[in-house]
Amino acid sequence: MTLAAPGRGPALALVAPFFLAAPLGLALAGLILAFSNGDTLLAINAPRTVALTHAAVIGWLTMGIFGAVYQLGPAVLGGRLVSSRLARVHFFVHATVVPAFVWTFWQWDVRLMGYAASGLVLSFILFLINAFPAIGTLRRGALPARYLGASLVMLAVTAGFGITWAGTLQHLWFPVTMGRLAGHAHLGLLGWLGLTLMGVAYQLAPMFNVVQRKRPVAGGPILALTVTAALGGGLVLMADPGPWVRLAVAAAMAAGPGAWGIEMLRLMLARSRRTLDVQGRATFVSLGFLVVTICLGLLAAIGKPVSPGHEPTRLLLGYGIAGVSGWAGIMLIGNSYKILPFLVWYHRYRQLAGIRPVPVVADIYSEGAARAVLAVHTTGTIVAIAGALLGDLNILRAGGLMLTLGAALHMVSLAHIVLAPHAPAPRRIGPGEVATR
Amino acid sequence: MNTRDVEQKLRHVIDPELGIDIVSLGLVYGIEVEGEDVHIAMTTTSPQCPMGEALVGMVESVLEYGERDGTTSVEVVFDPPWDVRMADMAALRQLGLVPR
Ligand code: HEM
Repeated sequence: MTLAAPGRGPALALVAPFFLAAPLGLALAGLILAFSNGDTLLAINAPRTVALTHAAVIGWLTMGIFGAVYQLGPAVLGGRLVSSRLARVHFFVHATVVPAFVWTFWQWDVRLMGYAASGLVLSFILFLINAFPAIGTLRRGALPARYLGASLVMLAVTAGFGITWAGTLQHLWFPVTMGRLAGHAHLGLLGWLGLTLMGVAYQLAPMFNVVQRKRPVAGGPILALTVTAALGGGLVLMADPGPWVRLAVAAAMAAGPGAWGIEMLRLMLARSRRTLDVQGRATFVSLGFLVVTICLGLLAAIGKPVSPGHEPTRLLLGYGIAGVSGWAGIMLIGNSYKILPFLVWYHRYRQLAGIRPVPVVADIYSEGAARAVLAVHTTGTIVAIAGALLGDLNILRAGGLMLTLGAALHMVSLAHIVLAPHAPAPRRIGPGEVATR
Repeated sequence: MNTRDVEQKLRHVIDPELGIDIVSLGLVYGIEVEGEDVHIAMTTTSPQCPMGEALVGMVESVLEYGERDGTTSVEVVFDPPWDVRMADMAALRQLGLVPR
């Protein structure tokens, strides 16, 4: 018997903590947004905004992606973890450092920021030691593995600039200009988060939605374009260029995800599994937010600063929320309801399947609860974007509260997947036969 | 045991992701019965399907369940690749491809 991808899954106890802790990062980001002050709408580098950003991108999305890479690498891409114990240690390091890191931004304590930033670099190193072998040697040529390989390099580059910026904030080697901030930010957002989610989607969206009639046609060129735009564009931004160059960089950065979005839409519309579950719905909603993100990003690149010396803060804030909470966040939320139930099924029921009635993956999570999470999170994201664009602090805060509520619901429903017993639902097992398995 | 008996048993193997049995999905390409020995040729919905190994285990479990003397061998093949048109009407209905 030959299987292209052996279904070796890592231990549930290794992966689940990453997925369960990730919504805490979102809850924290939502709370920080709920405590926005006047500065939030005036300066994109206001302490609370930088705290909010890192709670979302490192506490929530990166934490979830860590879990996804540890799971999908060995289970789907044919890779292996160097050490499961290292991955466990990594969880504790990351979970400890992130709140401290966010706190130093909130307080704008540049001395402690340096220590916390070093802890974060350590967390990324621990991750990368496992992540490179995890994404597979067997199928390294495959699109998802290539995207993930590139995104891991981008994570290292982003962290390199991040620790340098933290260092210069403390030791005043040089100023962190708006351009330098934007360069680091886009290396992280497009290079690390964007590429990872795009690569994972190439794997999961066709697999879960049974897409056969269409294949990705431009995955390779889109990868090359996105890597060039994130790296080249990020470096160009660091030189604080004028508006036209900024617009060109923004267009280049939008091109990859835009083309990927069209590919995803093509694939999803050709799916054989017509009935959409929460993962399928989340994919469409997330694609909608990608369009919003691209439009706001292009507008922000040519937008008029609200006051001299400042960026068009409100547009940038709306753009950031759309990209992080909408595009990337909703994609992660949707996939959580596949990755975690699969893992639970694999570890609890695989051995029993065929011998006695066991639940299927869909019995392991509540579709209703998952849809409620998606609805609350989507509404919170829209309200927060509206608050940012309208410059209305109360609407922005309300959006933050909704995101926190969505995060709490998400955490409870993920915990239920891992901890609760699951019963098989009645289903058809043969022609004309309905049985309770 | 004849091929019909084997097929009936395989209908108890449910694809954990789609919630549909592997016979209805058209994942079973061939059943050979020689005396008590059974050989199954089957596929998965995609070559990277992470459930592939689990599905093979389930097939072995249902066939070896209870009193049986013979051997069971399962071969996973990807030629021809699985196509949704190989699924039966009930499976297509469950996938939402034809109205319920
Ligand atoms: C070791 C890791 C990291 C460190 C030490 C770090 C540090 C920093 C610092 C010091 C700033 C603020 C500079 C200033 O305002 O003067 C910043 C901004 C930013 N960083 Fe990071 N960062 C790290 C990783 C990341 C990653 C992985 C991402 C994305 C996934 C990211 C996304 C951002 C964004 C979007 C901003 C702009 C925030 C805003 O304008 O409000 N960072 N980072």
